[in-house]
Formats: sequence, C-alpha cells, structure tokens
Amino acid sequence: MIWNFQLSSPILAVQPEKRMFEAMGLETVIVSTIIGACALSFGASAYLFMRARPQPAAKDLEKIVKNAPYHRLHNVLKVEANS
Amino acid sequence: MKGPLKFKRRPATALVAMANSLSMGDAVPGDELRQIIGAVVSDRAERAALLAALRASNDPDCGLAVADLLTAYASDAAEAEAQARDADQVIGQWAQRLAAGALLASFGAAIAGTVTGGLAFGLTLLSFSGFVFATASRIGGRGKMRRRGQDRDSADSLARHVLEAGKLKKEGK
Repeated sequence: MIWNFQLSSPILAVQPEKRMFEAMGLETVIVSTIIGACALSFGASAYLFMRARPQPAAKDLEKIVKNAPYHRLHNVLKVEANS
Repeated sequence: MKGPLKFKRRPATALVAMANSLSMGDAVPGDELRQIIGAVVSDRAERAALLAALRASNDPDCGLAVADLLTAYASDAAEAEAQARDADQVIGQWAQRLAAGALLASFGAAIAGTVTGGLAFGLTLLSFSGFVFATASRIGGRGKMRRRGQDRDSADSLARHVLEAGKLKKEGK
C-alpha cells in the first residue's frame, strides 16, 4: 500500500528521530492548535470591532446648516437670514 | 401653508437648499449632504419641518429632488446594512464558534490530562476571553447593522411622504 511504502522509506526508517512532526508531543500539538484558534478568533473579532466603530463626522452639523446654499432658495422658499 | 411663511435655518431647510442647488447644477459636498440627510431622517421634528417646507415651496420639482436624494441615501444605508450582515455571518459567527471550540478543546485536554497545571489554566482563560471578545464584537456589529436598517426604513418612508406631499399640493388639497 502507498502509505506503507512512505512510512518505510529508507531515509525515514534510518533516522526516525529526525522526523519533525513525529517528535512533537501531543501536548505541543493541542496547545498550539488552541492558541492558533484563539489568535484567529481574536483577529476576526478585532476586525469586526474596527468595522463597527462609528465614522467620525466630517463637519459640525451646525456649521453645515449655517453654510448651506440658501441663496438658491430666494424664489422657492423663504428662509430667515439670521437664525 | 399659504402666504409668506418664513422658515428657520435648520437641517430640513438646509436639505431643501442643497437639493435645489444640486438641481441648478451647483456642486454640494457629498459628506455634508449625507450628514444633513442623516440628521433630517433620524429626527421627527426635522421630518415634519421638511414636509412643511416642501409644501410651502414654490417649485414643484424641489420635492422630487429631495425624494431622490432620500432614496439614494436609503439605498446606501441598505448596502451598508448588507455588508454589516455579511461580516457578521461570515466572520463574526465563525470567530465565536472557533473560540467556543477552543474553549471546549482546552477543557477536554485539561480533563484528559494532556495539558496540566498553569498551561491548562492559561489556555482555558485565553479561549474563554476569546469567546467573550468575539461575542462582544458581534453585538457591536449587529448594533451597527440595526442602525443602518433603521436609517434605510426612515429615509424610504420620508421619501414616500415627500412625494405624497407633492401630489397633495398639485391637487390643491
């Protein structure tokens, strides 16, 4: 079978201690998986927080209301000049 | 609403002025327009003032221009709402599930004895805080989504009312 051939290949059979993933303990695998999952989750949550942050207002509303083009309304609607 | 009624300078009249200015070919900064529409749409007094100002105006096309601006604002808000919903369902939900999975895995590893002592405690704490953080960010994102939905609904209804007001005026009611 294919996997048997791979496992008993001469290089791996001669130096079993050199196999990187074989040397990893169960604890390392589990700890790194959990830390990785948490890092992903934290990253995604931070991205969502940044998205949900309200956009800063471009200008003060009072200033926009004051400087709106009322001169265009002279025949259409009467708007008080200083209010 | 007949006679020389004078209106105050307020967001509603500023919106009418901007719409009139736009229909005459003048440029109006987009962010100012958006801010004014947002202020008008979310305030009941401003909505009433806008309807009153449009009924008092002498230009019948003014209401059409305002209604078009309001509809464009509503479609922008709908787009933002859809984006917020996508982000919540694609990213937020999976971030929460990932953190919950990590929490369960750390519990399992601690119970089985694969990870022990301070490391097990640290992992559980880390994944628990990740779950809390993911939940909080989802709540924030959903709040934004709801606000956008409200903006869309109120801009849509105001645009409808503006058009109705124009129709009533034309019929002389």
